[in-house]
Amino acid sequence: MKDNVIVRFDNVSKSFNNTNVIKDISLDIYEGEFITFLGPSGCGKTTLLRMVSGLEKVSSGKVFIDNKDVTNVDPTKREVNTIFQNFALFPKMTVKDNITFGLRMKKENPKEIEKRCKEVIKLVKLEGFENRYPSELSGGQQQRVAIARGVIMNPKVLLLDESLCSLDLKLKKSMQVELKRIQKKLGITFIYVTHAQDEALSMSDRIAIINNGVIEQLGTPSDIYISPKTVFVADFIGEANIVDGKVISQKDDNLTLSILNNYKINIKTSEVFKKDEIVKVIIRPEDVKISPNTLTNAINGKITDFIYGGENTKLIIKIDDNNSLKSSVTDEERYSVGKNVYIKFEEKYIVALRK
Amino acid sequence: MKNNFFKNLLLILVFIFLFLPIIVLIIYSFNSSQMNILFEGFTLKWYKELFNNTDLIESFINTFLVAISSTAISTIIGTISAYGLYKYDFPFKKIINGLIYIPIVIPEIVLGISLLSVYTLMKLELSLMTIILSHIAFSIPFVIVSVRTTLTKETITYEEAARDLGASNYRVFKDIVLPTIMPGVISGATLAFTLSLDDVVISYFTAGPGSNTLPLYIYSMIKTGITPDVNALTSIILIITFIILLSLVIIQSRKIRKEAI
Amino acid sequence: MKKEQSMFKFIFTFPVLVYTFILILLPLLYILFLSFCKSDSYGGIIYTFTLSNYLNIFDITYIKMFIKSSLIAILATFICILISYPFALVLRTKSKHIQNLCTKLIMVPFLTNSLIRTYGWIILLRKNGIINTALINSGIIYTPLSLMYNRIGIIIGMVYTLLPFMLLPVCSSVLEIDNNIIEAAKDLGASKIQVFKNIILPQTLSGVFNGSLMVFMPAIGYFFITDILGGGKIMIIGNLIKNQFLTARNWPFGSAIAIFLIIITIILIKIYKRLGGKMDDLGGF
Repeated sequence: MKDNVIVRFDNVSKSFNNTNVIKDISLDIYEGEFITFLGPSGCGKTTLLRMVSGLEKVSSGKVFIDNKDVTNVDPTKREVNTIFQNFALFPKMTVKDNITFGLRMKKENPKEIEKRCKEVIKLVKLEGFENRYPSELSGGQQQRVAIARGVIMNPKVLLLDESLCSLDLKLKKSMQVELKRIQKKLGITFIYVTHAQDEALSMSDRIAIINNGVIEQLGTPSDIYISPKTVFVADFIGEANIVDGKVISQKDDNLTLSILNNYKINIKTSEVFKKDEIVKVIIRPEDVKISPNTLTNAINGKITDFIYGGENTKLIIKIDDNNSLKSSVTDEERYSVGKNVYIKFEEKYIVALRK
Repeated sequence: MKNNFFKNLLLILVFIFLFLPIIVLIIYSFNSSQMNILFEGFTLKWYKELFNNTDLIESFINTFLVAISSTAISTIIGTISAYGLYKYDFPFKKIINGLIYIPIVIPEIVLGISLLSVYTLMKLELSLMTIILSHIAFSIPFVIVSVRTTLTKETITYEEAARDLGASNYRVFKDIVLPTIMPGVISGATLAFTLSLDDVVISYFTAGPGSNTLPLYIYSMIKTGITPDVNALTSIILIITFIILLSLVIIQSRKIRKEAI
Repeated sequence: MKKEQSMFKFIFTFPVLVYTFILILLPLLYILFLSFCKSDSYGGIIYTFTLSNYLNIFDITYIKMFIKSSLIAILATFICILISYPFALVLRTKSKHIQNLCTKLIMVPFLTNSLIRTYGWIILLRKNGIINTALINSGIIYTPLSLMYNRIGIIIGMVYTLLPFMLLPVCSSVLEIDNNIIEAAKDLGASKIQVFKNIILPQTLSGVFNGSLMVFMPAIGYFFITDILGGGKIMIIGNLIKNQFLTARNWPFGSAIAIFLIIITIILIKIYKRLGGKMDDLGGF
């Protein structure tokens, strides 16, 4: 199933007033996957999404949906539907009229409309709300109407433009589960656009990290988290300590680096580095292991701050005047600000990147 | 491209329609023909004649006198009323909130004759004063509505913050409320001024024998024929109001630019 | 402190109380009172209760005139809608800057008095006026069209004078529609006509009704337009009221007609509110 390409970007570019917002992107999106375009605001992710729906025209390149070139096809004639950022529900129509809007525009048989409406209302769990107006619904319910309104059209691809960002945190979490459930049940492709990494990590099959109009990295959430390809990706996804390192030696995929004033680490890499090359070293906070007890062959530091965060509290540890590290701990009761600690690293997860 | 051309054409046509009679009057103010029919030759004589026509000059001055004084008074009353209606609870508030829409929605002629009736009842002699009073009567609601749109929940927050910091009622109104509602006050005042200059019907019923304003003067001339110095005066009014408008726009855009910096 | 507080409240609430009671409520109650009085043949008022003024309204000659007057006003309103919708829809496609400029420009003609502008139309419309001269000189027609001193002139005058009151609320309601909503409709396969019919029309209905109210009500009252461009041959309700107050001097009957207009206004306002219109939006300024 994974082999079926449903959406293809072929060297697509887009410029507004002579600034390039999308720079020569090529990307295949497969049938039935949940893919997320993740990036900071203004990176071009929404523009890319709108090129699938047709609401944005490409400046050059081609867009294919289900192997058909749709580059110049009107949005009304594309078999994709969008869930808009603020839901864009029609204010003067009831929930039912909103949901059936697309089918009514296609002059579908009323009986068929009725039947499909019942199905999707059940799917999004909105039974009993058919005759309400959007203004009488909660944020979560409005979201469900927006989904139902898109899904009823049986689109080949459903596009979701920052669809959860206007919901509060708790609702967001439950809607994430809900979206994933609906996607699994329907088995269609979802393209989700967001700037929130937690949404991307928890729902997606694949994530495309977009920055300045290019895809920085494409891969599964764990891929991207464990082996970021660029400093931007490392910084954007999850938290990371980014420090300078100097290559001491490399033997096949074993790389020896010196970081933080000549502390030596051994990591795995597929890249080839030159001796004495200065690299960026990415260390996740959970790979910074600390201990209040004196350890041999460890870095010494002093705790300067606590950042509480439920199960996972982070400590800021000052190494010297120029360097501090973040460390995740689960046993924070053993530490306090001002205390000296000893640091070692979980070296197999450390990544070195060319500057 | 072609589509765009027709779209722009539509906008332009509507504006030509709106400005057509004004443009015609300006052009004809330079027409040497007395009869106003065909454009015969360029002349400035109607402008000279205008300055000798004391009745016309007087009605022009009266018109602006009415507009300026009624705008000033209705802006002050309208602004404090909008704030009062928004902030305080007092007897008849609900009724007042309904009644203030009446001058906006009922036909001007109804307001005109009812004000005329009441002036007669109260034995007020019809004069320039009664015109001013009537213009105040129909302008206040427009000021209230326009100020009201700028009185929002944030105004309350600012106000509470200022009061929390020990500001007096007077200081709160002057330093906090007034600056936030200023855009509404200005647009309300502009509206009051415009409506006063434009008004025919209410002035018609509430003017006294000796109190000519421009529309009344012209109305009286319609049957006997209008002299071209009226055209000249129209051009002058237009130039004056355009200068005022333009300076307002310039001041506003400067302010915006300053705020942007 | 307490004293200052109540003084402040007094300053901010007293003027509006005085204003509404003396300049709005009192005049209206007084003409309501007058409408139930009798008038003598010299223009005086006899303070005895009568319903004859209201019964008079239903006289066939008046009914005919009311209908004619309303038809003129309805036609003017309709033409204003036909101009305003395309205008607003085109304006929607323009930048914010142009939208602002255009909505400001709409009000500029008001700065010269509407009577003066109506007089400008005489120069354009009369037999030997600009329009006829231009049409004859270009060979389109041979004999001049009668564009004024008839219904055509009145309609042109009404549409011209009242068009801004339709343009403003229609523009503001059309420009208010969230672009996302239009895109959502397109995304769901709605054609341009379907978008207009299903999305734009329902959402701008209260704006259009608002404009209609602000065009229709003055259009049955603007006697100066019928006087000037109608040549005094055609009467509308405004002329009738004017005559009752200034020439016939039958104030009670004039008041009854005015009360009748107020009742119509109230009914229209009720409909407007039912359509979801807000009172503060009336006029759309």
